[in-house]
Amino acid sequence: MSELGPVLNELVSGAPVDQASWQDVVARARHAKRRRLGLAAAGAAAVVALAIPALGIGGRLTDLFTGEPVSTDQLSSEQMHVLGAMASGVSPRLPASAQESLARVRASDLRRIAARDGSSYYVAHRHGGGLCVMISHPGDQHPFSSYFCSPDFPSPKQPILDESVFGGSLDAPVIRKLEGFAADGVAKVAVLTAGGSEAETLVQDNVYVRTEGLPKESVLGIIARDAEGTAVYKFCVVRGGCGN
Amino acid sequence: MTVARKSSVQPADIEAIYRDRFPVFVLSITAVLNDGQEALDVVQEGFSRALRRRRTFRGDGSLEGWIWRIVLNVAADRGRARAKGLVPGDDGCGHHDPEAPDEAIRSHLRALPERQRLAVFLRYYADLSYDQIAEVLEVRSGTVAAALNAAHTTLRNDLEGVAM
Repeated sequence: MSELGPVLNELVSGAPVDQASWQDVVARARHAKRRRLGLAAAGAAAVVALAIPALGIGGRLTDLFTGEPVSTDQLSSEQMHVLGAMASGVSPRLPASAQESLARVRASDLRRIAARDGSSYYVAHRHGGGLCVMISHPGDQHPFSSYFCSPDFPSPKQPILDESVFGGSLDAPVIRKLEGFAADGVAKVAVLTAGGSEAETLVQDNVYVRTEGLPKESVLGIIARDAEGTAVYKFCVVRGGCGN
Repeated sequence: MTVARKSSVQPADIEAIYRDRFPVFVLSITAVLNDGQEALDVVQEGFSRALRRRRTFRGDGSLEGWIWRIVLNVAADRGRARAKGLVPGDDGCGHHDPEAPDEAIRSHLRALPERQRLAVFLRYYADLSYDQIAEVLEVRSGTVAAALNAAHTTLRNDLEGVAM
């Protein structure tokens, strides 16, 4: 079907392949009803998210691109392909020459903004606005453990991009790893539990990670706070919101 | 006597497929529905149904194949709703040039029998094997091969003369 290939590619050229949102899937499963996903919905907007505009959260991460530029020599060809495609808004499924991938990655201004315990945290410009974020963990079988592009991150609407790992059940999720990216102005990120307790971690280099000392009880949501301790964003992972 | 194997599908199993295969799901459903945003919504809804119904997965096929069937069912529902005018979609009133090559192939693809059309999309966009397509469409592998061959022949013949 090779002669049809270019035409079949053209047929899906506008497909929104960079708008994956597992959080939205989970939210729909909990609410058990269809919710239309709008253009900007990619989001982590997911569940019941409450964005509280606050001073200190600008429209972009001012520190983000002071991170360490990543030489393309440090990336595998598969990483180059996936990253280049995502940042350019095209599907990694579609073929691209090594030269095309290289040009896309260079245009994305890929930076490594943090490294923790062998894991690396990357950001890149997203074609059309916003950012793509990627995490690479030791021993990954895939090019990146996770990658996500959002037109709204970073902004007051979406000051954190959470990539935390949950276990337990859909009705009583338990957090296994608190992890994600945060805009300037977000100083701490906390896990809010059903029992009312919070376990927070500091944001460093626009990244937050915590694996130890996480609550064993079920989680209601994630809260982003500024340096004064004011909640600037609340993201609820259970039906009915996470209270006040 | 057939005894259904007990499934132990965890949300993380479904999430892994989602994270790994999201783009090809969106591409395939975009091709099916001819609408990227509608396809995005269908894929999200399909995976959420898979999450809710994961305990009904019997384990007698692959988990991904089971999810494909759910997503395609959602797409079929959406297509039927659109046909009844319940959901806005491509109504053919846009600025389409019927002489344009991509419009020509769209119309030829739409004209294919549904099984052939889905087989083409699953083969091309999702890179599924004949056996995997057979599992998703619940037909035999030989039927998939025949469907793809027929689709290929039809499209090649139909598109002769179309400037590409």
